[in-house]
Amino acid sequence: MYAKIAFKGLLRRKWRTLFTSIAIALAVSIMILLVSVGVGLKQGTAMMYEKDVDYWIIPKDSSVTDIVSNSEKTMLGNVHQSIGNISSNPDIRYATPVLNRMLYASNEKEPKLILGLGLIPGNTDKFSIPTNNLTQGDPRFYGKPQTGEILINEKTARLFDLKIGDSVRLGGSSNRLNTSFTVKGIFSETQYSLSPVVVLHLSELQELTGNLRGDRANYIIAQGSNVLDYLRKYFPDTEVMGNSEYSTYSVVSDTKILATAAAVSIVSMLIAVLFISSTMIVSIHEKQHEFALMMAIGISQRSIAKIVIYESIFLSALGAIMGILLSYLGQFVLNMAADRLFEVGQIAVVDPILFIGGITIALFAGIFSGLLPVFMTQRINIVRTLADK
Amino acid sequence: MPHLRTVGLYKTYWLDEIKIQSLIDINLSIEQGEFVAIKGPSGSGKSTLLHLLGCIDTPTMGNVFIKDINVSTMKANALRELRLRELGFVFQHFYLLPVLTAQENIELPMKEAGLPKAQRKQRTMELLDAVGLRERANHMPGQLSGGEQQRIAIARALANNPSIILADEPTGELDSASGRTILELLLKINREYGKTIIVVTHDDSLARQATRIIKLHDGRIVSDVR
Repeated sequence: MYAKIAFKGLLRRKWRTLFTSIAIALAVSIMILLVSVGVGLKQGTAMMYEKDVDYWIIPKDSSVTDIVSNSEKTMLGNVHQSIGNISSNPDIRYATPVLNRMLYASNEKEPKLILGLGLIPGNTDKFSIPTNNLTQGDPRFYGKPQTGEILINEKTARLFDLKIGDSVRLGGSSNRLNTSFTVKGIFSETQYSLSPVVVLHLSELQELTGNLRGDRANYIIAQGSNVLDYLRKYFPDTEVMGNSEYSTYSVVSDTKILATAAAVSIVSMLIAVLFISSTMIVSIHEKQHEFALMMAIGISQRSIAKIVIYESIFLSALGAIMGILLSYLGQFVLNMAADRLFEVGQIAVVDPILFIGGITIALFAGIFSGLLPVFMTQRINIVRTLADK
Repeated sequence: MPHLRTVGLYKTYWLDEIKIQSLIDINLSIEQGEFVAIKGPSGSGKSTLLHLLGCIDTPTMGNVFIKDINVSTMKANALRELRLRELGFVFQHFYLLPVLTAQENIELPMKEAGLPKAQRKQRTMELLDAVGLRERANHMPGQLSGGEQQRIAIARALANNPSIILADEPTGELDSASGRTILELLLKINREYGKTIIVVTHDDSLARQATRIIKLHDGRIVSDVR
């Protein structure tokens, strides 16, 4: 009944409730969008599109999403052997080690740095990179000649004016561009990476970048189902995550994103507290006769506090829901504008954890904003307030 | 044992810098089942006395005893419990919660008292029957006439079966027909349910029906007629 009193109290003042909710929604959506742009920019430098992957096997204290800062971190070794072993599990449809490295590329023009992604092409149709265009497996690793095949994204194609069948030289440094590769396919950069990318066989990238000894890769990805426990047993000293865990991990493990999230969350929360408190104080002032009456007939301070806190929480929850919807819209508009105006693919990636964050912030703001009004109700003088009527 | 008793009751308050002696040495003894009308001109202290008897205000000096318990020394929460279970209030301005239906307004004190939902519903329907408004159970206060609102307020006052009903000018805002209905209802509550009723009123027709009339003037009792 107390929740009903609170809810109907908000309905009674529709416009004030609406405007306050919009203000909270703006604060929440700005928080979500700012952090999602951080996540988006980070994923823009990442080499792997999350939706392609069911399981991530990552060295402890490492990260797969930031190729630059990750380059010198812990790596996995003997990855071809590991992949050979786990691929025998029928529940694993496809698995490959992934090596991320910066490469120099040139085709008559001045060498430029691009992102190299080394993997073992396999039979999978769930990959946004068309690895079927490459020779399957990793023949070079098993002593066969280099395939010299690469896939590039549209950004690389534009940068070097390349089309399928063209050649480009790649190397680990600008003065060692001796190895020639042929473009076997061009894939879309939209929803993938903001950077120029080249995809090649793992061992060929290992050879170019000095990672062949020790057979090293940054991480392993796998497609399949119900193999999380199996993978955790097989790779006991690594972080093995499902895709949903990974989404959270990739955001939380990045201190820059965390710092941004913390800063904008605090600002959003302050804005929400300011709006909710103002509305609640006005509301308490308007309803002090009702509260005085309730006190007169024996309703406890605790019950009255419940009404105030419920009202505050309903207001913040409404703001949070509107904020989430607004952030969806904002994400769509931002990404469309970024793609159309700057041709940079998606720049905002709204992770579900941000929605939880937005709701949490709004609810905390709701509870916190209710405290002062609760205190105000405790100061109500029954006789004087009722006499004022 | 008197149902309600005051001993040397004083109430003083300050209006800006002027000291107002609202009640001076009030000594009263009210028995169970009495219907007491408190009369007097504006500013005579009638409402102040009702507030002190109803434990929503505290005396400057003196004591109020309900069933021989000195309520003047009770803590705020104990007074609230007393108001919830032993005292029923009816105000001049009806004072129903506008966001709750008639039925919910009546249920509110029972909910606070911890009565289970099924019992609350049953008691609410009984009270709606008693005030003749069962068919208005789901109406909002704004959809009820003044007289109907006051009858719902009376039903709410009876919700937790209190022994004392305190009414502050319950017919003050009503037309004469509605006023008569309210008077009849108060008489019924007094006679059939045996409740002690204390009414502050300017309404002579209401006062005439009381078993006792106390007149106040300048904060003092000037007559007390049974």
